[in-house]
Amino acid sequence: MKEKGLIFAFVILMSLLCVLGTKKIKSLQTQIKEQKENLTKLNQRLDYVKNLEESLELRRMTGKVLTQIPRVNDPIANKVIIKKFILSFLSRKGYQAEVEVENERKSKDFPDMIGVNEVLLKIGFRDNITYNQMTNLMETFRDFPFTVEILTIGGTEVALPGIFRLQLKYYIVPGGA
Amino acid sequence: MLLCIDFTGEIAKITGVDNKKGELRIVEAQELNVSYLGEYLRSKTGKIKEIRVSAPMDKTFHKTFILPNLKGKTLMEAVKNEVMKAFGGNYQFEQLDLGETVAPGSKTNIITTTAGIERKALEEMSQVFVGTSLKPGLFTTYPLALQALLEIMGLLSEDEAVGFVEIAHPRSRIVIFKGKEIRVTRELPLAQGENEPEISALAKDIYRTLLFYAESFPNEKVSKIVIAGNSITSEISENLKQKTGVEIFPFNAQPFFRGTEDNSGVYPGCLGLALINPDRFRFKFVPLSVQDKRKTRKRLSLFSIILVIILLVFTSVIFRLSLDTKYLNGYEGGIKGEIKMKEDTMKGMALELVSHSIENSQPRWSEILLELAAVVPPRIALKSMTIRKIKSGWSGDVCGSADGQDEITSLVLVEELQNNFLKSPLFTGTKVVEKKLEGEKINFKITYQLKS
Repeated sequence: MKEKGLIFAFVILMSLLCVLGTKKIKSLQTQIKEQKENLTKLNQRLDYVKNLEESLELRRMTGKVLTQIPRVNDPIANKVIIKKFILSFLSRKGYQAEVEVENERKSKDFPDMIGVNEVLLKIGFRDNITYNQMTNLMETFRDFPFTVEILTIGGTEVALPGIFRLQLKYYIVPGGA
Repeated sequence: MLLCIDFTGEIAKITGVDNKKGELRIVEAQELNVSYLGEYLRSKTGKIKEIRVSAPMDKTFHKTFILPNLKGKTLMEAVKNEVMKAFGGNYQFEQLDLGETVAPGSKTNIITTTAGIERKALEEMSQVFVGTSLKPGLFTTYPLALQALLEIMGLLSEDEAVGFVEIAHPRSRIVIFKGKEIRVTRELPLAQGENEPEISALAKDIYRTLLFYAESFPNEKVSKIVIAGNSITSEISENLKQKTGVEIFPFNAQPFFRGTEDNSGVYPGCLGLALINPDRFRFKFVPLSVQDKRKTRKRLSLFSIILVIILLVFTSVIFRLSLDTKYLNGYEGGIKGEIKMKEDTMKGMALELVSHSIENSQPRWSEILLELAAVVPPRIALKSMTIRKIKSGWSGDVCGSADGQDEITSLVLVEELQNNFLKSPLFTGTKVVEKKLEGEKINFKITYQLKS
């Protein structure tokens, strides 16, 4: 009986060992698989970062940088400055427009460490605008840290009066202005 | 010390033998009641290296069979059948082939000698040792032990039968050997003391045994008898010689064993046990309970080995995988560090980064707007056009109406517009999501995405 008990204990021990061992091996294999996938992503990220760095270096060397709107320490004043700047800029181009500036917030389009903020801008043009004018205007925006979020002609997505309406993001770069 | 125990009924004859450089010396010899044997063994723990045991003669059998020339398992089965027929199924037995003999018709038969011990007796003997740390290394029969002794003493002969008589209280024993065969075994009762009438009775018993032998094996007779026992005198030998008419030799173990000078406490069965070479000896019996234990022990060893192998395999695989994980962790850490370094470098180039991002994320508006104008065929008026940034890129929609003067032409126009979108190198995923007939005009809404 004692021997049978021992054999039974051995069998139990072996089964337990097999189950636990297999479980541990599977867990390690899963971990390795995940690590490899992660590594692939990290390698891709590294390649991207390397290319980006090269591209940024090149940009710095060629001196092609964006113009930023002057800033002060008061956020409300900054909103006013941005609005006036855009209205004045459009006015100089010959457009009558309505501009709405939202509050400054942290931008999720860039890594946190860079500390880029963004301001959402809505512009509704009162005048009719031709294709040529539109394309010229859009190209001019490239000189500023603006990105177009919505562009609509005759649509209703940007809640401002006007046929041609834009929703832009203005990026505030630390130390840029 | 090698302890040899000869069981004879309730009595166990014990002889302790020391082997010093090939010289055998009897260091202990006594008779004990079997019930005190356990206690005796416990008192000798540490001194005894090995134990050999011979079973009571009345619980054993010895028989030689002549069987057809069979091989392997078939022969084993034949021997088993013969033993069953002769002695029943209560015996554990062993066999030894002694050679071949010519049978009528120029066929050959096999001579097989067998010896067996009653299973119950074997278990009972084994039980005596339960509770002690000592276990017998060899179980056999008294005649087989004697055979080993006489063989070494050179008293056995292939041509003549030899008798061995051990006179002892309460039973004397006689065994007749011929060559390697044990032909007759018999226990002879002996009354208290060794007075004349009883010796005379014993001599008669021995004589009857010799007569029985002569009847069983015609044309053969026992040529000599070796007689052993504590109280053998020349008168007893002479008396026996007269009664049996056979040459009597007193047993003398002195040339082979030291410590037998006074001939007291000499137990031939025990001496025979001491002389057995276990490696060559064929008739080693193992009680079934011990066999079971051995099997269990073997199984346990096997399980232990399997367990260790499994453990080793798992350990090595886990170790290998852990190393891989460690290596990958290190590699991952290295890449992360490099990325972090690059990102830190880029902190000082925030404006360039934003500029780069804008340049890469914004479509060429002039191209988009011109292409949009180009895909719209005449007689279609757009009411609205929207392009918005989404997570995966840019999506847009155009709403308008097609005025083809009749419904079919208007439908064709909407289809043409859709086809133009599909063919365009700048748009993808074009779908007409709304189509509504209004008189002859068709109002429509088309959604699309910008190709990245």
